[in-house]
Amino acid sequence: MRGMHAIRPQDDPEFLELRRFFLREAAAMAREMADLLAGGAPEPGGERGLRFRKLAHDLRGSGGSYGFPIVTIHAGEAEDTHLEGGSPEALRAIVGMLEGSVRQAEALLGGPEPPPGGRAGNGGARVTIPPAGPEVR
Amino acid sequence: MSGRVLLVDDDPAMLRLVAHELGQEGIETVPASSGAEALRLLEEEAPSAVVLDLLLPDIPGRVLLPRIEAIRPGTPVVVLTVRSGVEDIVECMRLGAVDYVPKPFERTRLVASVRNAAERGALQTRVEALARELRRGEGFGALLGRSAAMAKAVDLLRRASASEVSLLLEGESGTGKEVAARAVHADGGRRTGPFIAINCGAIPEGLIESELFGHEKGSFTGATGLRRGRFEEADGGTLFLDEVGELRPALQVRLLRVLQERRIQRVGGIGSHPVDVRVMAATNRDLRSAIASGEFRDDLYYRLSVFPVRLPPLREREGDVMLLAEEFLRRFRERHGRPVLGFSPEARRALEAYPWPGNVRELENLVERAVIMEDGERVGLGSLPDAVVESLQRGPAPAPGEARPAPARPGDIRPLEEEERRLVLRALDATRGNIQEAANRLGISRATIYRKLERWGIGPDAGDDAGSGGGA
Repeated sequence: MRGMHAIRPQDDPEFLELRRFFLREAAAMAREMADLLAGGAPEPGGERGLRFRKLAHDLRGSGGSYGFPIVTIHAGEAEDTHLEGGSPEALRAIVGMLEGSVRQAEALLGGPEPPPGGRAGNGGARVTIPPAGPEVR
Repeated sequence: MSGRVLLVDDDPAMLRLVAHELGQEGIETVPASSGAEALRLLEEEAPSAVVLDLLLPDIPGRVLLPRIEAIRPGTPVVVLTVRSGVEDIVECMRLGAVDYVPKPFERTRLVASVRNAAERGALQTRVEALARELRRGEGFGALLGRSAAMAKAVDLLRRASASEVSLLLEGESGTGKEVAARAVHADGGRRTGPFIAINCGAIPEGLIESELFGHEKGSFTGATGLRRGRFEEADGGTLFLDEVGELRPALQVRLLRVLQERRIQRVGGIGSHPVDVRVMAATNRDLRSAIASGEFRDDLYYRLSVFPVRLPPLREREGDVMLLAEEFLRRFRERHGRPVLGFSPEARRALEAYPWPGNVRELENLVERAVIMEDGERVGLGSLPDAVVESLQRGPAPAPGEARPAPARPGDIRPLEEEERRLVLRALDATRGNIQEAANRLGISRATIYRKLERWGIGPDAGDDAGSGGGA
């Protein structure tokens, strides 16, 4: 996996932009996970529980793929802990660490401020290159 | 096959990343964010490979895998998913995936897996295309021809394929005798058995016996082990004896015995054993003349030619030259990856005017050469041999049954006596030694023929005045 500190913008500027966009999405997803925990741990089989695990599952797969293994680790912990019936406190702590790691990654990349709203919960976005950020290639 | 890779994942971040990583390697992709969308896209185009996430919102991956196979059989699928237990991997492979890449993925691993899958898919497509071409080349589909002469021959061959009788294919070199034999075999009751061909004229005299009947270890110098001959190899199937007229008399005797008894004895062997073989033979010689001259056994001839079929020379197959030329052009265009689409009008006229002494084989070789030589979309006169181009100047080929008079050259003029002898002997051969009939055909008297034969020292031992037919 590409490490968090293995960014060399001149190598692949398009990839850098993709990573920044991912982090913006990841931040929104982590925030949504925190919101879902606001009223206590959602039922594993309920709609909110399924949504919580879907977000965690996606971040688990994509985090390390984008070069942020710590995102994969925390997201995987959140998914597994929720499946195992973990306490709301434990889940909040894990999601807090997840949000923190995303912020840290954003700071390392030095990207622009994320747009308001972040990723919509539609789960069916088409593949597009984000319009924000500097021109690449 | 489109060459594009279908990406199926409901996580847009993964779709973007995988598209980017594969795009960096020159691999084009098309995204689908659900199982239903993936199936719809598969109906529209055949991807070179599919990258599939197992956890889709509408159709689980294990349900989607067999449906992908049903729509696009043989399309390789690489599973890209978070789950990584051994059971999951085994399950994916059992369902037909060719590889498994866990998420989060390593770029090099993903690229290698997808590239291998895409190449495997391309190879599969190529194999299927070749198999289709092979199937098209088997059976009577391989005998292309619309002419009346070829239709007659094919009709006889179809009847031959419905039986087990010995088939003798007669015709000039290059008329497709082996192709015809293979077609009869492929269409007949022995199609699942082997088809073994041997060119009796191409194997050295000292080896042909061992080739046909096999040999025991130590039966001669160099026989270091037992060897099964072609008859044994063809057991349960068909043995095709090409150029059967080249067999020397001693081997003709052995062959006749095998055909009569259906048993073979290896060279140096003590006992014999049965073989179940249908024999087809071919020759471009006039075996009846060979019988008359004592070079070929008449009893073997009659055993081989229970069902004789003459394959017409290409010059007698009216309309078939361009039919065959177009088919060869299509075949060689694909094989050599050339841009040639057809023939120019002048090239077509030249091909139709040429007499094709080498028949279909000559045409096939010429078209292959032309496809390689031609850089444009149409084969022109510049890509044809001089001999073919010159036929345009001479005019169209003669009608079937007519011989084209060759242009005279000094070397062609032979002494009159020699020409007379050739014509008289040819007439006697054609009439099976019936001197009266030969005289009638030549427009001379019987007595004249007798005088000429006496002058040439040839005994009139064939035929009699009563027109009995004579011959060997």
